[in-house]
Amino acid sequence: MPLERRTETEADGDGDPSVPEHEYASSEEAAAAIAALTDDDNLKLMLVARIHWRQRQLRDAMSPKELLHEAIVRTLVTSGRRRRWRRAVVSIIEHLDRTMESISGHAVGAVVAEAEFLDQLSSEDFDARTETPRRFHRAEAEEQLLAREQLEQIERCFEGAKPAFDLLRLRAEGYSESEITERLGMDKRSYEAARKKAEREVAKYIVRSESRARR
Amino acid sequence: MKKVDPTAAVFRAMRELVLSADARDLAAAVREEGIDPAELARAGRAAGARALDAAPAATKATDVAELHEGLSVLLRLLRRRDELSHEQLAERARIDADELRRIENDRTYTPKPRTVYQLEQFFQLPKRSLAKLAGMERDRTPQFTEQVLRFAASSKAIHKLTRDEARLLNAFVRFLSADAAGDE
Repeated sequence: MPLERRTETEADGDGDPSVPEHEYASSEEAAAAIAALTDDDNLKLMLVARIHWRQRQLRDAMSPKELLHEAIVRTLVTSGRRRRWRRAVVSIIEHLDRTMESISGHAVGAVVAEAEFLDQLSSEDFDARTETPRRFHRAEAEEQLLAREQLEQIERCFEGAKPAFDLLRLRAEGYSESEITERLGMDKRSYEAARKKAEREVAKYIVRSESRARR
Repeated sequence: MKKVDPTAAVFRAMRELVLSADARDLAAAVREEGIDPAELARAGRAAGARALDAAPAATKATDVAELHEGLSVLLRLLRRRDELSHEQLAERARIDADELRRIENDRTYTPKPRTVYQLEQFFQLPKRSLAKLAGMERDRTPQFTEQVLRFAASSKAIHKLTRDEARLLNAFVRFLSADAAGDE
């Protein structure tokens, strides 16, 4: 299965004329929200950045930290068709997650429309050329193979934690909590235990080095 | 129906779990892997701090490029309103036709001050209004940039000016005049 590809414009309502202007944060409001992120928020954001990085197999093309940095810059630059934060709809953390999803998906594509952003940021006082993602191309067959391998890796990481993996799989398939408990024959307590276990296993998987995760 | 990529769906579920998790549980799991969660959090904070430092410059650079877009659109519309080819306008305004084409088509191109002046004169635009659109004037408000963006986004590249385009053009020229009057 090919890795998911999305374009920037698909990822959210940027520039959508039907969205009332007051739903968008100004750059000052976005800056204030970013400056107010706690250590817990930053930990989550870095873990999420690593998930995107791992999913897209970005490797040397861009580090998780660069990915997060890029998402924040695009959120702060509110003029034009950048990544405007709809503060009335999503939290700043969710917005940054979606922005990272868009950027990382974008970086994978063979036809990357990054040029526009790079062109615009080519001024001397902002060295964007060293800070924005480098493009690379990957054949579809390779992407399919990587995606299959990743799924196997994740399953291996959950060895000995079958309920947690089942919970993750069913959540991925879009089942609600009540549907999952029913399907897996769990009560609320065992569901909570499986969820916590899944959270921990996910955190471990994503901070683990790629080579270790492959084993 | 849209086909769902199972790997992408699992990664999405992983992100949702992380975002809704208790940060203390995540920190404990990360520590089990020999990684300091405080170090990860610091990396996130550093990425934010660097972005906050970079953003004003990025905004400025982006604004200049977008103002250029406004300049291109305005010239194109004015030229079409007066039914002039590049060559005809260049000849009448005593500028270079190739440069005129570059201004219209290359948003990164900074026109020569003389060309800008000649065009302002020819189209009887407020003094320094095109210079401002060309990014040559530092003194501009966010509202100015916003109006330019709105104007550029509203125009369409068709051969003859529609009534809406003519209205848009007139309104924008009025805005430039009012803006220039405010500067004086």
